[in-house]
Amino acid sequence: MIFCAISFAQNIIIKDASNGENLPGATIGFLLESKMQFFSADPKGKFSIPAAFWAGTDLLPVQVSFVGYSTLYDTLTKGNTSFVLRIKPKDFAMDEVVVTAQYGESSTEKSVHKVRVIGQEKMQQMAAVNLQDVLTNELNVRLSQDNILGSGMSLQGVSGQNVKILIDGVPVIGRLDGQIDLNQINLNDVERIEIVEGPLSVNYGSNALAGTINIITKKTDSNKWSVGASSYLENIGTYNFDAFASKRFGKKHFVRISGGRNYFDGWSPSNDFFPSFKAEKADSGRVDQWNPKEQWFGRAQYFYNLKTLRLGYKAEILDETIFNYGLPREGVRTITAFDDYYHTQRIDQSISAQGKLSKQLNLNFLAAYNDFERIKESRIKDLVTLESKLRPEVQGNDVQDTSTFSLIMSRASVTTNLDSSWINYEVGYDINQEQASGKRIDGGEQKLGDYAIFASTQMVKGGLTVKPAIRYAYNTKYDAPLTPALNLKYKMQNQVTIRIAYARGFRAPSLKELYFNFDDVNHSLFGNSDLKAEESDNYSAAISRKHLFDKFLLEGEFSLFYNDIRNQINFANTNSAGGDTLVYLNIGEFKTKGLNARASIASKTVKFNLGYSYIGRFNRLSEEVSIDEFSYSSEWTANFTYSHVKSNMQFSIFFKHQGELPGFGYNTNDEIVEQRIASYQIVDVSISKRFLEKRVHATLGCKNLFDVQNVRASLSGGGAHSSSASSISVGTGRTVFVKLNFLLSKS
Amino acid sequence: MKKIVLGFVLLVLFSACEKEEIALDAPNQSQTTIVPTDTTGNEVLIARGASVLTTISIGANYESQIWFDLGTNSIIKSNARTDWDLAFESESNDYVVYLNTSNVSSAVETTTTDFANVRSVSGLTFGYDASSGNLDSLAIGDVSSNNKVWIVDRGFSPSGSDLGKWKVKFESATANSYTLRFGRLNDSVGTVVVINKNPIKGRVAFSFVSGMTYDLEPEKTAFDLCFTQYTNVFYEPTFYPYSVNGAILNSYRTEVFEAFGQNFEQIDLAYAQSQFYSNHLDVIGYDWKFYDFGSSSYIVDKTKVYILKDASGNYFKLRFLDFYDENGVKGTPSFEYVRL
Repeated sequence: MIFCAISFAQNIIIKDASNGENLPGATIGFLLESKMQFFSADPKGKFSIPAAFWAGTDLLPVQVSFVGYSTLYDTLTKGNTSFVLRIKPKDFAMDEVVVTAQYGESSTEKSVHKVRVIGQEKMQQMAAVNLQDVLTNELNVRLSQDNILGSGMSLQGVSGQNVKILIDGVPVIGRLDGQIDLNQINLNDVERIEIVEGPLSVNYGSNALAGTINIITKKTDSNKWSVGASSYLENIGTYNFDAFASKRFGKKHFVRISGGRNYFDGWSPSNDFFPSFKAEKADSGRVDQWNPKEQWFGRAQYFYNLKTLRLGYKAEILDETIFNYGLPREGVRTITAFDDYYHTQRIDQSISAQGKLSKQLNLNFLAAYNDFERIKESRIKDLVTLESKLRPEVQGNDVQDTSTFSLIMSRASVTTNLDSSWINYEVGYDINQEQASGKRIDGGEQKLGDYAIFASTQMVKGGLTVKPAIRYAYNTKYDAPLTPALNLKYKMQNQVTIRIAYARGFRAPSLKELYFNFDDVNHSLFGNSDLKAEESDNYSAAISRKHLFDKFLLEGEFSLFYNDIRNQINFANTNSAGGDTLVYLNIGEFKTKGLNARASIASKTVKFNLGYSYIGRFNRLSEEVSIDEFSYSSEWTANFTYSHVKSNMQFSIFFKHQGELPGFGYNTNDEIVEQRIASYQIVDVSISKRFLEKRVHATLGCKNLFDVQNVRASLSGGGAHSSSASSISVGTGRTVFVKLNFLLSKS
Repeated sequence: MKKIVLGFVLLVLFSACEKEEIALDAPNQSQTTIVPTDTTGNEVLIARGASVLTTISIGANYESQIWFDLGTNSIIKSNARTDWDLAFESESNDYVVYLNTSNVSSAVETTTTDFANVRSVSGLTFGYDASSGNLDSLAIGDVSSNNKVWIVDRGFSPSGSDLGKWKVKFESATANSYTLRFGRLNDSVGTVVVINKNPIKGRVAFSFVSGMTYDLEPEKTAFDLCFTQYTNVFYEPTFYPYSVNGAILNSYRTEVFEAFGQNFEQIDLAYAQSQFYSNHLDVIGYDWKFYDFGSSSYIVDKTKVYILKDASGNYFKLRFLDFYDENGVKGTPSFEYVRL
C-alpha cells in the first residue's frame, strides 16, 4: 500500500483508494514511544512527518482513519521521502465497488450512472432472506404479493416486467405474468446488490427499462478453508438454514459452494404468535392466507486464473414447492380437498472470463444456459382417510400444468479502462435465445432469438464525463428498436456532482404475449405475433453533495426522473358482437415522473439516512375522460444504525412509509372511478452482536413492528351511494426473528 | 470450537417439515341411504321421507345431456349434446323452433326469402335463446308465418371447435309437421325435410349433419330435469352470451320453488304445498355453484335448497352437494333429495 514518489519533503498524502482523490483532514496515528499519537492531515490530505518521529528507528508504525473508510495499518520505512497511503471506503459509505454497466470494476463515485448499492451490512441488519425482504426498505420500489405467483415489484412507478434482474450479470428468467418472483432470489452468499434506475437497455437489452437489479455473489479469495453456516428462525413458522465453504488451491484455482433450505409453514391472521408443531385437524384451518413454501438451493463456483484473465464456471439450482391447500369439500360419502402443489425448478449455468487482454484492453465475457420449469400438480386429498391422489388430466378438466422457459445467452464486451486516457471505449455483443413451452403456447413451443451489438465511449475532461452509447439488435420475431443513451456527469471542486442522463429502454414482447392461446366457449385470449417492443424514453437528473466534517460525513442528493413508455402491450377486446376475444396489442402509452431527495449522515458509530420520493403515474383513462393526467403517491424511508464498537454490537431501525396509491379504473357498472390503496408503514428493528472472536454473529429483531397485514384497497362508486372496499395482503403482521451466522473456519 | 459445532448441529435439527394432519370424521350418513338407480319406469316411486343421494356425470367438458326422473331416481336417457341442432315444439297449435343452447348455438334472420342467395353472414348479428325458455325471448321462436332464410351457427363442440354455420328456411308449419329447407351456406338448392310432431314428446329434434330427425327427449311425462350445458345471456355490462351448466326443467311436468336458506331437514310437505312455483327452464339452472378463483375450483352453495313439484302432485326437496367426482374431475353434480 506504500508507493514511492520523488520528492524532497517527508510527506504523507492520504488518498481514497477507489478514486485516487486526496482526503482532507484524515486522522493519522503514529506509534511514538509505545503510545499512539494522533494528528490531522491538512485540507489537501497532506501531512509532513516531523524528523523527530524517526528518532532511534527505521520503521514507523502508522494508522490512518477517516469517516466512512476502513482504518489502514501500515509501517513506514525510513529513507523514503514521500508516502501515499490509500484507504478503502467502507461499504456503508457512498463510495462502493460496482460493476453494473461499468468498464470493468468501478465505484459508485466514479460511475457515470447513478448506482445504488445494498451491502452486506444492510442485508445482515435487516435479516433479509430474499430480494423481496431487502427491497421493502428501498425508495421508488413498491412490492406486491400473490399467493401463487409470489412477490412482484414496481420501480419508479413502472411495473416489474420492465425491471431486469441479473445474477452476476446473467438475466433471471421465469417471468410468470411478466414478473419474476422476488422470493425465489435468495440472498445467501450474496456480496451486494446493485440497483440502477432508468434504462440500461444498451447493455442488457429487453426488460431493462425501468431499472436493473444486479445481484453480485460472494467470491472471496483465500487460501484457507472458509466454512460457515447460518440459520434464520421467525415466529410465523420460518426455518431457514444455509451453509457455504470456499478455498483457493494454489494460486490459480478457487472453489466456492453454498446451499441451503428455506421453509415456511404458512400463515394466517388467526395463527398463534408462536408456531405449533402439532398435527392440525384437516378443517378449514388448513388453508393459509400466506401459502406454505419450501425451497432448496445451491450454488457452486469455480474460478481459474489464467495469466491476467479469470475464468469461471458457475452452477445454480433452486427447487421450490408452494403448498396451496384447499378448503374441505363435503361431498356425498366423504370430505375431500383440492391441494395444488406448485413446483418451480431453476437450473442456471454460466461460464465467464474477466480480466485484461492487454495493458489497455479489458474483457468481460459471459455465456449462460438458464432453465426454468414450473409444474402445477393438482391432487385430491380425502380428509377422512388422509389419502391423496393425483387429479386426472382429462379434456375439460385442466388442472395439471407444466410451463418451461429456457435462455441461452452470451454477452461479451471489450473495454479500455485507462485512468490516464481521456477517452475509453466499449464494444460488445449480447445474444439471447429464448424458448418457452406450455400447453397454452401456440404449437406447444416457441423460440425467439435476439442478436445485438452495442458500443459506448466514455470521455473525461476535468470534472466532466460524457458517455454516449448505442445498441443495434436483430430479432427473429419483432422489429427490435435502435437503442441510444447519453450520460453526463459533472463533478465540481466542492464535492458537488451533477448527473444528467437520457436513455432509451425497451421491453421485447414476451413469448406469451406473442404466442399465448386460450380459447374456450366463453373466453378467448390470443397472443399476437405482430407485436412491437415497448419503448421508453427516460430522462433523469441528479445533484449530490458530500461534505466531510470533523467526525462525520454528510451527504445529500436530489434527483428527478421522467419515463415515457410507448407501444405498451395490453389486452384489447376485439369482439364487437359480444363475448370476450382478448388480443395482445401495442395500444398503451404510459408515463411516470418523480422526484427523490436523500440525506445521510455517517460517523464511526452512527449512521442515519432519510429518503423521500414523490412519483406520478399516468392515468391512461385521462385520454378518454377528464380526470387528472397523473396520480401521485409519496414514500419516506428513514434508517438508523448505531454501532457500539467495544461490545461488537449494532442496533438498527428501518422505516418505510408507503404512501397512498391513487388511480382510476372501472367499477362494476362500467363507470370510471377513483381507486385507492391505503398507505402503510413498515418498520423493522434489530440488534446484533458478534461473539467468540467474531465467529458467531447473532441478530435478534422484530419485523413489521406496526403489525401491517392487509391494507384497504377501495373502489368507490360515482357518488356516495355505492362504495365497496376490499383489501390487499401486504404482510404477515408483526414477527420476531433470530438470525445466527457461524464461521466455522475463518480465513 | 465445540460450542460452534454444537450450535451448528442444533440449527440443522431445528428445521421443520410439512405438517401432519388429523383426519376428519366422515359425513354423517345415518340419515341418508343411497337408493340404487332403478330403471324399470314410472311406477316404482321412491319412498317418502327417504333421502336419496345421486351422482350424475355430464363429463368434464359438459359433453353429455342427461334426462333424469326424480320419482324413480333414474336416468331415462342420455345423449351427446352435439347430436342435434334444432328442436321443434310438438303441440299441434304451437309452431316454435328452439336452438340447441347446450352448444351455444345462435341464429339470425336474413332479409330475404331466396335460399340460394344467402351465402354470407357479414353484417348480421346473431341472437340466442333465453335460458328461461320464454317464448318471446327465443332467437327463432314461432315460424308459422316466417318464410325468411335463417342462418344457424351450430356453436362449439366440447373441445372448443366451431361446429359451423348452416342456413335454413321454414317452408311450412302445420298442426302435424314442419317442413324446412336447409343446407350449407354455399348450397343453392338445399335439402327439404319434413319433421313430424310427436305429441307424447314435448319436442322433436333435428340434426343438420345427419339431415334427419333425432330422438332427443324422453316422453314428456317421464322426466323432471335435464343436466346439461346451456347458454345464459348476461346483459351487464353488455350483451354477453356465456355457457353455463346445470339442471334445466321439464316445464311440461315439473315446477320449482327456491327455498334458499331454508333448513333442508325441516322442510315438510305443508311448507312445500304453500309455496308459489315457477316453470322457467332455468330456475335451478347453474348458480347452485360458483367458481372460486382462490382455489381454482367450483364450490357448491348448499344453502340453495329447491322444492320441485311434478304434475302428479309429488313434492321433492333437493340440494346439490358436489360438482366433482371422487377423482376431482368436474362435470359430475351430486345431489341429495327427499320425496315429501
